[in-house]
Amino acid sequence: MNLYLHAFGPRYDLPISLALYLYAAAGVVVVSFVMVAIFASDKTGERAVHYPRLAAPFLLAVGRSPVFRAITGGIGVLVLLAVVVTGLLGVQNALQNPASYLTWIYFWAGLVILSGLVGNLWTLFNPWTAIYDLATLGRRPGPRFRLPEGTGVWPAAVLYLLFVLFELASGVASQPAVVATLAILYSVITLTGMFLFGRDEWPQHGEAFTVLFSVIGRFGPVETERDDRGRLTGVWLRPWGTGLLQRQRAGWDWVVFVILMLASLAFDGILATPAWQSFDVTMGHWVQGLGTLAEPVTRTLGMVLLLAAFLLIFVAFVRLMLYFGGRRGEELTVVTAFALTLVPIALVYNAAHNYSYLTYNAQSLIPLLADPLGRGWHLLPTAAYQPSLALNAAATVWYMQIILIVLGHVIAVYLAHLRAGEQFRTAQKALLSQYPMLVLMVLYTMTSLWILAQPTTKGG
Amino acid sequence: MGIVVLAASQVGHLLTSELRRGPGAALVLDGTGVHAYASTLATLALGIGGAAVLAALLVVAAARTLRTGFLAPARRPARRPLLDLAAALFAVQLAVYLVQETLEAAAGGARPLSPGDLILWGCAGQLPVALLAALLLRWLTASVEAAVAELVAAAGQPLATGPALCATRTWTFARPALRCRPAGRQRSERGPPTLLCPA
Repeated sequence: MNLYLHAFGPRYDLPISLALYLYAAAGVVVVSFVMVAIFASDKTGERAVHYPRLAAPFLLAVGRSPVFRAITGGIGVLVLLAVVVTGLLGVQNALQNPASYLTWIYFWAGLVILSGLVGNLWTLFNPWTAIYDLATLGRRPGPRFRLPEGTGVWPAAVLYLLFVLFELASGVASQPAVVATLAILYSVITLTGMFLFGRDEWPQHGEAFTVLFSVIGRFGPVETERDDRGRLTGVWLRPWGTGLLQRQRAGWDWVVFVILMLASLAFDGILATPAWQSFDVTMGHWVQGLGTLAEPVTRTLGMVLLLAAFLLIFVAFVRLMLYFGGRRGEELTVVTAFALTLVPIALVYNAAHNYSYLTYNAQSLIPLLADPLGRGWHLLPTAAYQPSLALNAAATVWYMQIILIVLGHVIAVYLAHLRAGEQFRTAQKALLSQYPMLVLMVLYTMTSLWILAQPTTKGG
Repeated sequence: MGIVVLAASQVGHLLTSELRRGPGAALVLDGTGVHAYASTLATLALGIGGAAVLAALLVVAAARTLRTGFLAPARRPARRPLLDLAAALFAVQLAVYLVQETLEAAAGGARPLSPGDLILWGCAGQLPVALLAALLLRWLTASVEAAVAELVAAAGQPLATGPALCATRTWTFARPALRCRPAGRQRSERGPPTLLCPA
């Protein structure tokens, strides 16, 4: 994506060396581990992951309201239409086309972070369920076919990987017409899947964003419950992050999906580092015969390598956790359970990585609203708006990134501690099992901060 | 396992070094100092040695797989999960790669690898080799475990069903003058089992 990529202005000269920041951040994670071990609950079994929740009848009434659903669904459909129309008919320059801003900043960065902060907003704004409901007049006909047993979320994981490769590897993600065309294609796939396999069945297994937001939304403080027909039956408020402790079906599909979330964000960050430039140039010699495909092939290779590496390292550390915790068998259950504790890291890394997009680049949509197709129109008096850099000074960005990354890892350490209490027999075994997790968290904190520091700081 | 990890990490190291060198590039000895070639030669020698170890294991594994691979699934010996093996191998190989690169950089007076370099080049070189080595180990452990299972099963069998006992029985009646051992000491002393002695 070329939307003012990491537009921080001048690079920030750190007052102390980057290494000291990395060690300090790692130190905070270690201290938080000690604090959690001392002060957090040492309950085991089901009680370890039990959390308080407060019924929210007001939110239940709002959520059940057909008017509210029509408004949110309508907004989702309007945004999808705006992406398609402006992408196909507007100026073919990412910086001057609303399709790029709506897709990559407001949807991909903004809605994901907001869903983490609030709850799964995708259930409200999903344009495809709104179109389906409109087309079927809300009757919800039964599915024509059933998805094969064991499908899990593999189709969603594959589509998510393709989306990530389109964003990071294809080299055409900044072309509005391509974004619009793929939005149409994806809409056709999703709606066909919904008509064939069911309104809720297909999105839960094969729609990448529904699965993604269902994972991210677990971090949020709003918890919902639905009946077999998909009707909202209860809404509660809960502490942030605790939703990730809910029981989850064990499966490699879920593990791969969560690891893909982490790996894709890390790869996005790595692309801005000198290490990637060197890797890209060197590997380019090996694939130069592919011509224009050389760059996408190198990037795809990098993404796949990183995904495999993240998965293998996570599995190796879970094996160590099982060894330290004295548990045998049921590895998949444990791997799945602990994979979800990584979600806070993915969420904060997303926020840290996209901080400048959200605080600066997002404002660039405002002047475009006056003339979305670039035809010289004056639909709104916003053409002269100048984006503010108030929240985007390099120093502010750097310190926000440190705070977010460390916070995410501390939350992950806490959730993993509670999860360990559930998975291992005694509090002592649970604590022992968390030493490998601590090492993983420290490594991940330092690597994440190093990656984020590269385009921001002179010390990077 | 330790030998396989070391061999695989050295092959991965050599693969990384060749990838970084570029296609078709001749072997160039780094640096201009008196012993500056040592690092390149060490990488090459260790890499070739590691490849030889893996190749030898491949031959053994292939031969054993030919024996067990055609068995019906129910009779095929259980194998360790490929993912577990690959995960363990890759994690250790990456750690070895980090230490080795850091030591080589320190010895050569160069800057140590950045985390980005480590991730990218470490993955590119070590991951394919880790997967290959995991496949090898999976085949080998299947055969070893099957052999151990057979030995354990054989050790647990009662003596009465073995053909050697029949020979003993014949021999006992042929030589009745031999002293019978007290019950419970059949395995510690030579001679026919007590139950076979004439009353």
